[in-house]
Amino acid sequence: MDIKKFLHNKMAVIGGIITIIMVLSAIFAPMLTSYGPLDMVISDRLKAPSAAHIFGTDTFGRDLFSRVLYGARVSIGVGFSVSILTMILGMTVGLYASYYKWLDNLLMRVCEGLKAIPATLLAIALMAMLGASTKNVIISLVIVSIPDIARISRSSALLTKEQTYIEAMYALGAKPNRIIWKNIMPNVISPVIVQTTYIFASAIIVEAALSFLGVGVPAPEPSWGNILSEGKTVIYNSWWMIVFPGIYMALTVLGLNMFGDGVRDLMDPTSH
Amino acid sequence: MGEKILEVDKLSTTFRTDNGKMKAIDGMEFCVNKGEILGIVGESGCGKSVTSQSIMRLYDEKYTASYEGRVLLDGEDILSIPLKEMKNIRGNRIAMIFQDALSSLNPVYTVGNQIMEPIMIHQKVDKKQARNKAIEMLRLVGIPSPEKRVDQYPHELSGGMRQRVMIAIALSCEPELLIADEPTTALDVTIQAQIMELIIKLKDRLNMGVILITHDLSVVAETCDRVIVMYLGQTVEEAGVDDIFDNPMHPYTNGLLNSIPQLEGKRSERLYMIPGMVPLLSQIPSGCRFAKRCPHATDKCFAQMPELNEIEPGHKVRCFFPEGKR
Amino acid sequence: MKKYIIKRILYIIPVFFVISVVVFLLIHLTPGDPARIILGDRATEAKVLELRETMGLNKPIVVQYVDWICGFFKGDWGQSVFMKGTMQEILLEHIKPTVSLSIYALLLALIFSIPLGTIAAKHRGSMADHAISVFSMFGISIPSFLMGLLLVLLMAVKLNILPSSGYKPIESGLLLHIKYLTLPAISLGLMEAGLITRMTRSALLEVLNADYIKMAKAKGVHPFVLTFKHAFRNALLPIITVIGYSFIDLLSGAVVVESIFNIPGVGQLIINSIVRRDYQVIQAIVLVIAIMNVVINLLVDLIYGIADPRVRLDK
Repeated sequence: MDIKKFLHNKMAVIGGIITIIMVLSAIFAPMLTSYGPLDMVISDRLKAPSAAHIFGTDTFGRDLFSRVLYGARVSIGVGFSVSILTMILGMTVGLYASYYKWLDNLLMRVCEGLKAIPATLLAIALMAMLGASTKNVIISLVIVSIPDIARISRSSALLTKEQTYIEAMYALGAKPNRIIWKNIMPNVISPVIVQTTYIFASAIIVEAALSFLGVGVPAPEPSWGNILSEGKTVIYNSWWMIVFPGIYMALTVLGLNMFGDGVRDLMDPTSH
Repeated sequence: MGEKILEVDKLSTTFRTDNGKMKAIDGMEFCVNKGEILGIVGESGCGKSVTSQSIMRLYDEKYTASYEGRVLLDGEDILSIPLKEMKNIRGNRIAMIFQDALSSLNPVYTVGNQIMEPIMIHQKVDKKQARNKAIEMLRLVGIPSPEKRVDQYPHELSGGMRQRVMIAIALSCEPELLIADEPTTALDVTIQAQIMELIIKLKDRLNMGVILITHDLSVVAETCDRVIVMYLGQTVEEAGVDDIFDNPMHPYTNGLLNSIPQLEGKRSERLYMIPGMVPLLSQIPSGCRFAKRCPHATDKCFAQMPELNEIEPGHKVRCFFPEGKR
Repeated sequence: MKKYIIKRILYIIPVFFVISVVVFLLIHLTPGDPARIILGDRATEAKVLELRETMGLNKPIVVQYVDWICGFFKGDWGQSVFMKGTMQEILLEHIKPTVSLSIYALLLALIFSIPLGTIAAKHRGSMADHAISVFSMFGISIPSFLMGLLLVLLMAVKLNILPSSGYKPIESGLLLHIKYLTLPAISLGLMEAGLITRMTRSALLEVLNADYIKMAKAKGVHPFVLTFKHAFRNALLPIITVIGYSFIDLLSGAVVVESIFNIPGVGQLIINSIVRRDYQVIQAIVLVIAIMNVVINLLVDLIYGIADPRVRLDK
């Protein structure tokens, strides 16, 4: 893990910085704004950006800057939870599938079946089934993302298994769980981490899409998606409702993608 | 031997990399005559391939590589001609074969197609004639049933056959100079012998000059007329093949020869290793580049770079204190 | 070759099975009683039970699944609670705009991304390469619905060149059809363009560094021919794969974009169905699109088999 080399990669570093700024602004939201995201002041509705409200206000007079920041908490929080859960569960599936042949057939068929349904569509269908709530969004997105990580873990694990040192461990009588987690997993984790950063980014996008369509995070809790959805109805007169949350979201995703590329270049320099 | 085909005059190649500029080869000087095989030996990374690819100007010159010196092909400096004129020379007057035949052949085109390609580029023949020539070449390199093989794909052939195909491609336009970059390293020993025999036979037939790049000294002993020993981008010794083996003068050459496991001799002797490791190109020492690993190095060796001098007729060494007989 | 084709086709069967199970479970695990939902809260218990009987909801779940699948093969794809006509008719009517939009978006994306990716690969490390990388980075970071909103804001509100809402079917004239689809297609296509550019660049880079390219160069092949005959022929394989996947990506992206531009496609259909709890429609849509996906993947694999001799001659 060559940190120095990573720092040479300008895009990756910029990406990392942007991501950190976004995450921090979400975490420290209460300190960055005195307005609450749910505080309605109807007389102030749909005001353009000003000194009092740097991002303007929305249809209910809520301060947009505050809503964007608190929305960041939700969107980034969802993205983060989805990535971690997917990484753990997906890797487990992939690792065990690579180890036990019968499990392999079963799990991989299921994954292929899931993958056949486009992610956004599957997420929408799952949300329709489960009902709109932040928790359900996380569940849906995890279900949608697991097949990808499982597949990567599995192929990485299969390659590692071919190595003779695994055969040696087997011959020494090591228990399967030990072989899987202590020996195979460390080799698998690099490509998995790379893919997880991309899943983080795509989870943010899909959550926003779901909330935009009304089947994601339910109002009045802010998420970039439902802020944009509100913005759509007043788009002709209130550009700030689209532009600011849009920029915020795009920057976060951009940061994550750039960072992800950097991590990928670090772990596998031949891919560039 | 015959007349001079190639003369390399103080050739240096510098690469621009993420870590700055690196001079991969420095001041290479040698000649190749018609009908002779010049061997270039050295460890991995010493610049053998860089030398051969520089002669053919295969590197990207816009962003990556820059050359100094001259490369005279039949008296004409091909290093100074416009790059686009090189394509008339490549495959035509100078041809190259590579180490790994599987990765050097395009997997999606038939073997015949790939032999026909240089023929159709450099010679004014139509497709049918080119195809016949391709079949003839396959026969020449000893591939049985060439009419069938010509329509097969590279992965359908064995390793030895693929290497023969590469030779067929290289010789299809009867070049003056053949550069063989480790042609046998990836092959079994028996196939190795066959391929080398083939190369020598065709060399005689076409009266070509051959540059044979290898790290295998036994192949050198069997086939080459003259030998260049390279270390870290420079020639350290140049001599006729017998001279190199009987009378090596550079400590590095000595070290290489000593490292060959002997069939005779005491069993208990440990295998000789040249102490130390080859330094990185980015950390090229000043003075003699081999000094750090040389058992006879003096202060002068660390301070000054020795020149390549002709100590005996036909025998050049880059050393202040060349050794005598082993 | 034939063996490869047959093998690939047979392979679909287990996948289809899994998809059907997933889709079936999707709907049948929905909390709430479908019969109750259809009849509304005011209906009596008796009426609800009666409907359940008619709908076969009291049978064991495996039986329900078998019934459903058999029905599917017989052509009975379910019934919409709100819309008239067979499911096939409903789907067909709504899928036309979506497919049109997706194809348009894909074409736009390809026209830009393949040349850009090629230039970036051939001039690796140059200013052009960096600019193209930055552009594709932006492309994949701006989701299609955001792009759609921004375009609407820009074009329709400020510049007023292209319509920001509405849809004209092909029958009203090709140009008009395209005009209304342009903004949505650009929004959809941008992300795909970013992806395809990156893919083209890396596929080409990998190929350009291959030994056989060096060998071809050493034969005296013209640089132009090197790129287009030798490199592209090999790089095209992963690129075709990406294009195949792109189409499905676009279809699902269309779901969101349609709601912005008011296009009566599959996207609108699915959203409305969710709101109206018209579950059988959702079920049918997901199933059909999943099958389309599988078929497209099959086609891509077959093309791969034709294009790459190593694949078809294996085993």
